[in-house]
Amino acid sequence: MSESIISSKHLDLYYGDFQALHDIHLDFQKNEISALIGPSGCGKSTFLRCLNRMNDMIDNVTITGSVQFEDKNIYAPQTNLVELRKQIGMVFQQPNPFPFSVYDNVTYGLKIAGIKDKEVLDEIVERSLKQAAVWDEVKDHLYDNALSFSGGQQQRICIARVLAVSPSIILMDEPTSALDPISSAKIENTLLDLKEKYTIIIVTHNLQQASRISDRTAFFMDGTVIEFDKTRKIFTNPASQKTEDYVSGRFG
Amino acid sequence: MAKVFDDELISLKSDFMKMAALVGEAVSKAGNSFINHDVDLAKSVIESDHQINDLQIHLEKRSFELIALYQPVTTDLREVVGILKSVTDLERAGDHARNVSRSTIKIKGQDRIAEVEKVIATLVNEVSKEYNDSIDAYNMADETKAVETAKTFDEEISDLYNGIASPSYRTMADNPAILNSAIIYLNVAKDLSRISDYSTNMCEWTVYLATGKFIELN
Repeated sequence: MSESIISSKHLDLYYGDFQALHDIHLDFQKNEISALIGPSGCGKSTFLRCLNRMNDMIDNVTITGSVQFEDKNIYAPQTNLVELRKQIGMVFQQPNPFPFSVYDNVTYGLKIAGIKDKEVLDEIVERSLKQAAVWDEVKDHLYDNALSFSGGQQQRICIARVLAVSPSIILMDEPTSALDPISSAKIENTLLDLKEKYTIIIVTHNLQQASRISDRTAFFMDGTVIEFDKTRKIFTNPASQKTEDYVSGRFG
Repeated sequence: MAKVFDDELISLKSDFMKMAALVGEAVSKAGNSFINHDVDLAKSVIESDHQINDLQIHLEKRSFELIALYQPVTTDLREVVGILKSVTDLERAGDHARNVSRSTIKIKGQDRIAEVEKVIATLVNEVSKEYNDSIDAYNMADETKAVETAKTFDEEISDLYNGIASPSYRTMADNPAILNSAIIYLNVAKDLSRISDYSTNMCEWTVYLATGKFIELN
């Protein structure tokens, strides 16, 4: 039985005078992978960043409406942003490990949270790297610089870094667009394993990736959601002609 | 999808319609050969059956290639899958036309039952009509016409089949001298009914093509 975990209501976003998102209502289910698809500039990444308030860092942005996470509006003034981003982590398009060892990358958030016990840290490092399906490849090199690994391995180290702080939701902004097909396949398999414990929302330009791994798909166009439904439906018999045209590659 | 895919799909569909036309021709010629006792026409149907089989293999191969190379979705995918599945039905309809032609050759020189042959002539006509209508509906992706076609012909063809089967069985009992002909009539009626079943399948594929729904007609 699916259960809602995060939802947006009447969400509008403006960059100055330009309205980039129009009245977005989306309700994401726990332990599912939801894909956000749409042509470049349609607002899908902007929307993703609204879900853990990453847009707050951009000047000139105005957001109205609400995002409910665990019965609270994350845009309420009392929201603790550090705590919020711990619960709703993010993985970016380019692998962005810090220029330190694998171990220090994975423990970074934990140390900020005040965890110093070496045994606890060791255990979390191993668990997170295993969950991110990169443990076997890095276990003998935990103190090597994370940047010395391949792109695919770096991206999985970044996923482990997010997992280390035990988030509920992982946001991913085109996490495999800079990777080769083999590394992408490894990440996709990792995500399918992770959804047992986490909720994943992923922006992707790779339609086959969305159809392969996601449970639900939202199609964005010109800052609005055209259709949000089970992925199976979107890729076999969508309700909207616009969705049909986009997923069959006729525009965008 | 890229223009190349659109062109490929148009060409796939055009080859599919070619196959559909060949099968339609085989059905009508085979039926007429039986009605008119025309052995030469029957032979021509049997000889050209390999063209239908070759086209089936060609269309299956092309459909698999399109799926592998372009990963079509939604309507595009239904077009390709519809063809991939329908070619099997068409090929089998072609086989039954070939069987009818073989019956034309077998019955040559045997005693006839005029009453039965009259009903067979009507059945041939109706089966051909149903086949052509179902192909038209598929070509236009016209689900309404598809449903209507399947419904219109179902009962009539079943009645005609019975109109052949009953007197044939009766004759088999009453007049063993024309037992062979009666068996051939039954076989022909069976083959024609099977062709009608494949037309119904085509109507079901049309509904799938147009709506994405799998339904059972009749």
